[in-house]
Amino acid sequence: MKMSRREMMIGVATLFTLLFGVTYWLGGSKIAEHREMREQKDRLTRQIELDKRILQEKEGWTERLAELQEQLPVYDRKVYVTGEIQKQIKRIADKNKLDFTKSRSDAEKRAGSLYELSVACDWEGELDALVHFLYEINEKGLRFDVRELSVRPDAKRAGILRGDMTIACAYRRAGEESPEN
Amino acid sequence: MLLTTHTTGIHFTDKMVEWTVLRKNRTGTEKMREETCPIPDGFFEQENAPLFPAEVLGHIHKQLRGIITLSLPSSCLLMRVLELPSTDPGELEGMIALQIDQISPFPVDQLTTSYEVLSKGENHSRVLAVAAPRKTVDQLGELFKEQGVYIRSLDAEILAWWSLLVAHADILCDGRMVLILEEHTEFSMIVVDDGVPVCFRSLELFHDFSDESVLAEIDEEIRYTLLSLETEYDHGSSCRMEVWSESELPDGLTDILNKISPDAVTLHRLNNIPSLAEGLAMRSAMRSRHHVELVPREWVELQRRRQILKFSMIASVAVLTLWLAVISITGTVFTFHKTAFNRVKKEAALYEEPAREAKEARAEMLSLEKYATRTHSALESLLEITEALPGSVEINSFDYSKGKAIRLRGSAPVKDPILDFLSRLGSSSLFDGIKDDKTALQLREGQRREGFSVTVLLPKSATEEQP
Repeated sequence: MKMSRREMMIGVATLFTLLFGVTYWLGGSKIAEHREMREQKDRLTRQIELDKRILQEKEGWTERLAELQEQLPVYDRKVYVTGEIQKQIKRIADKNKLDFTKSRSDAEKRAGSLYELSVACDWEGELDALVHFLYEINEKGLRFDVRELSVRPDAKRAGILRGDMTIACAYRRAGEESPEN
Repeated sequence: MLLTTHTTGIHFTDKMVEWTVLRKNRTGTEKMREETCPIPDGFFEQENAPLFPAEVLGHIHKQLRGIITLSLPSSCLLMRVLELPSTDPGELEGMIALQIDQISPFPVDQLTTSYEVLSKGENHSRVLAVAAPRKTVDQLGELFKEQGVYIRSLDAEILAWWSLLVAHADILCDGRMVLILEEHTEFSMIVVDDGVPVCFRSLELFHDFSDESVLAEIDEEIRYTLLSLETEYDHGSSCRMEVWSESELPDGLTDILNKISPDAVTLHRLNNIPSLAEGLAMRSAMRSRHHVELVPREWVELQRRRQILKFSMIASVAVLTLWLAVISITGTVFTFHKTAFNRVKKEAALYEEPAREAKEARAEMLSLEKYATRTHSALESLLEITEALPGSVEINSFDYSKGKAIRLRGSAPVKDPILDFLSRLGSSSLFDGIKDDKTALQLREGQRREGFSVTVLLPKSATEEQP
């Protein structure tokens, strides 16, 4: 077979192009996969750093959580907590001469071992009664927290105020341990 | 054209093989190597002795580089100087082929022929036609090939000597000059007219100076040659004679030469000029188109193909090696990164669950912290607003939203107490400030009153911030 130098150069160049072309064609997806892997690795590295910082602070959080949980009331699993809490709020209102004309509660929510219940009430009474009611609610500690309150003077009755409020109530259920325990 | 810058000249006698390697560079040529190797005693005396002691090549073939040129002694060649009425290479080739056919005792197909232009006129060329038996050339080629050495060029030994003498000796440019060359395997004469050879003649048949009758034959041969040239070139009978020999000539031969050329016979030693191997390599490196080349065309083609094949192999191996290197390096890098990624993934999995639990605990803690924070409670906010409220200002609505804002609406008979009230709220340390404050004139029960509305901003609970 006769082959000139030019043909030889073309042959070698073709071999080079074919070899690398086919390799790139076959391995191109691997390169994309590798790039994605590197991005994922960077993301995971950042996540590890964040997790480490979170774990460094975990002890402080769990201690504080335990401290706060101590102050929460604990109800048995079978107790109808909504009724129980509404009764407690009504008692405090009655005691302070604040009329609750209507009350309703949302479904309880759970976050870890913490249960939350939101009670919305329409009320009326004197300013003094409202202040005493709010004071006693504050005194109950973590059990109750007034999240929303609206106050308006009653147009028909002088000295009487009316409005509505939303009280968030926190509690635990017996037999359910906190995550770190 | 071959892809090389090296040329190697090989010259052999019955005593030794000598070789010179030259390399072409920008300034000309430089000598890379020059060596000799003795031929075992009695090698050529043995029965059916080969033309060349190929075993020698086994030791030296690695030193031979580039275009390899071998010289053939005059005794192996048929040489004739021809005056031809053309300068066209194509025409010259045809004329020489015809002339060789006429003067050769062998058929042309058993010869390898070539020529060298010695001088060129307007429509006339003086050339040296050279022919060598194809059988001799093939045998030499085979002997070299067996040792892995490929002859690229076959030259005439006498032409190499002539080139060396032109470069290093004092060649007359005017008049006739006879050059006698004598070394181991070369005994020949060159007749030069006005600096251009008119005759190359081998005297190797008479290379036995111990015999008186042979000396007489040398005398007769030289005289006959000069006489025949006189009739052809019509030159004067006087001539200068220069003898270049390897060893001292016997007195008998010197006397004969003195008788032939009574004007001047000068004796020189060949040792004073470069070796014939160097002359060969130089001729090969500086070759022009009209240069004797006795190598058969198929040898050149074979070598060209071998060289291209060799380059193809080297280039292919280089490409494959590069490809393998790229694949290996890429593979290694990929594996390394994959391992590192798996390690990071494993480490991340190790932290994931404890971190998730910690985050849940934090979320739970933050939910409870909302209950524990009383600083900005509805009661505290109500008290702060009541304290800031001037006597003439009435509050018509109070809407508290923990951690966000308190929206207030009210009225007063005049504007000033309202502005005082808003100013106090804005500067209160309990609140973050006020916004969207508006005042407007109102008519209530037939009386003009200034109404207002304002949003009091509560500090965002720290419990709402993310880690």
